[in-house]
Amino acid sequence: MIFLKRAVARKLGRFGLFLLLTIISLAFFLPILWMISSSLTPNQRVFQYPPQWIPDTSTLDNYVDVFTTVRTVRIGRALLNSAFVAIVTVMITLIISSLAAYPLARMDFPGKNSLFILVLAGLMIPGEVTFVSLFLIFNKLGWVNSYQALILPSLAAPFGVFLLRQFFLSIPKSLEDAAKIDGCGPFKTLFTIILPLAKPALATLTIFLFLHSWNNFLWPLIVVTEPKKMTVPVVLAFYAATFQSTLEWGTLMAAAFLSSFLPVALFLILQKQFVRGITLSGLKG
Amino acid sequence: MRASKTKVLVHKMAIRRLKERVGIPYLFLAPFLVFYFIFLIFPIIQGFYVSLTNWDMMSPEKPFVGLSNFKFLLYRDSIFWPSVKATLEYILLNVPIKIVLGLILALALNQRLRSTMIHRTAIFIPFVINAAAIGLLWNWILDPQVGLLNYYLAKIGLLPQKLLVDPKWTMLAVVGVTVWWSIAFNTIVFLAGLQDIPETYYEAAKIDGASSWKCFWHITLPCLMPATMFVTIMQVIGSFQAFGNIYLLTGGGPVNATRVLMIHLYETGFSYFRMGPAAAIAVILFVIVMVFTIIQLRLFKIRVEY
Repeated sequence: MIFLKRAVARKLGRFGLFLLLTIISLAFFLPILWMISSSLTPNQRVFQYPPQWIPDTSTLDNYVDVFTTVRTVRIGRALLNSAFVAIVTVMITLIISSLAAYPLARMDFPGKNSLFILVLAGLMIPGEVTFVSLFLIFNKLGWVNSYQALILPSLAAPFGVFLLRQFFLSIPKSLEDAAKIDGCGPFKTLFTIILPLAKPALATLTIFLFLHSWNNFLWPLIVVTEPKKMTVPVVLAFYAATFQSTLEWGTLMAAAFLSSFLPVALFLILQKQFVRGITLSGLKG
Repeated sequence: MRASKTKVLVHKMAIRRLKERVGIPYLFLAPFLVFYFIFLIFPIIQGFYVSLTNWDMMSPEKPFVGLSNFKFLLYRDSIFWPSVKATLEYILLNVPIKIVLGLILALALNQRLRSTMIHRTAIFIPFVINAAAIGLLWNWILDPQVGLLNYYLAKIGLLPQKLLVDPKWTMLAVVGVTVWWSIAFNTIVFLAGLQDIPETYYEAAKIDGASSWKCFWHITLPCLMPATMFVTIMQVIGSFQAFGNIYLLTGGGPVNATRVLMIHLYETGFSYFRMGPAAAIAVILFVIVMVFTIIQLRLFKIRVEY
C-alpha cells in the first residue's frame, strides 16, 4: 500500500515537473512565435486588439518590402554579406586553429607553456576593448566598409585553438607513432590522421564560429556604414532607427525573423554538436 | 681533419634538430599568432596609447595629453558615472539571476522526462538569435502603448507596465530579457556538470540514509563547483561586454538608466568620434574585467580545492 502511494506521488511529482517545464518552454517559445506572426501581419493591422497570433489577413508584404523596397538598405544583400563573411571566417579559422592547436597538444618545444597561457588569456579578454584602436587601424588602412574589416579581427579569437587542443589531447598517441614510423611528417600526420579523427570537434567548432560571425553586432556596426557592406544585424539596427518611429513593426519583425532564421535552423539540425561545444569548451580539461 | 669534419657534421645535425624542434612548431603556430598579435594584442597596447592622447580623426597631430582623458571621464563627463552605475547594476542582477535560474532549469531538465529534449530545444532557441533581433523583438512586446504584454496584463486586471519608460524599472526589464535570451548557456553547462557526477555518490549517500535535500547540498552542489566557476567568470566577462541587447531595447535610456559602459564607449567613439575618451573607457573596462577575473580565479581556486 505504502509502495503504491509512493509510486503515485512520484508520478504526480513528475507530472508537476512536466507541467512546469511546459510553461517555461512556452515562455521561451511564444515571443518567437509573436515575432513570426507580427511579421506576417500588415503594418496597419499589427496593433489591433486583441492581438492575433494567427493573423487573419496574413501577408508576405513585409518580407517583400525588406527585400525590394526602394529604401537604400535591402536585406537581401545583407544576408549574402553575412553568409560570405561567416563562411570565409569559418574556413580560415578552422585551418589556422588546427595548425596552431597541433603543436600545442603534441610537440615539445621551448615557449610552449607561455604560448598556451597567452592563448588562455585571450579567452578572457573582452574583444570589445580593442574596437577603438581596431577602428583606427582599419581607418588608416582605408579598410572601413570592407570585407577585410569584417573578417580579419575574428581570426584573432583563440577559442578554436583552445577547443581543438583539448580535443587533440584526447586522441591516442599510438596512431601518430605508427604514421611517424611510416615516414609521415608532422604536416601530413595532422591532415591525414589527426583531423579526420577530430571531425566531431571540427563540426562543433564550425557551427560555433558560424553563429558567432553571423550574430556579431557591435564591430560590424562600428566598421560598416555603407549599405552595401552591412551584415544582417547592422541592417536591423538601421531599420530600428528608421522604422521604429513610423511604427512599422510588421516590417521590423520580418527583418528580425530573417536575421534569426538561419541560426535557428542550424541549431535545430545540429543541436547535438552545439550542446557538446558548450560543454567541451567549458569543463573538460 | 677527420675530427673537425665530424664536429661540423655534429654541429649541422644539431642545427637541423633544433630547426625541427623549434622551427616546425612555430611554423604551425605562425598563422594564428600573426592574427592574434596584430588584431588582439597590438590593439590593446595601442588602445592604452590612444587613451593618453588627444586623438583627432581629422588632424595628423595626436598630441600626448597624459591622463587628461581619464580626468575628463571621472570629473567632467556627466554620463560616465551613471554608466558605471548602470554596468554594475546590470552585472549584479544578471549574473546571480542567471546562475540560480540556470541551475534550477538544469536540475529540472536532468530529471529525464520523455519531453526533456523538447523543453531543452525551446529554452535554447533564443540563445542562437542575434542581440539586435532580441532587443527589437522585446521592444515591440514591451511597448507601453501597443505592446503584447500590456494587453494580457489588462486582461487579467493588472495595471499596464511601463518598463521601458520608467527609469526605475528599465534595468530590470533589460535583465529579464537578457535572462530569457541567454540562460541556455548556463543551463547546458550545469546540465553537463550534473551528468558528470557519478551515480555511486548518491547510492552511497542513500545507504547512509541521507535525505535528497542533504544529497543536493553535500554532493550535487560541491560537484558543480567547477561548472559554477566557469559560468560565473564567463558571465561577468560577458556582462561587461553587453551591448546589442540593451542598445536596441532601450538605446541606453530612459535618462541613462541603462546606458552601460559599452554603450557609452560606442557613442563617445563612434557617434561623436572622441577617440581619446573612448579609448580611456576601453582601458578602464579592460582593467576592471582583468581585476574581476583574477579575483574570481583566486577565490574559486581556494573553494574548489576545499
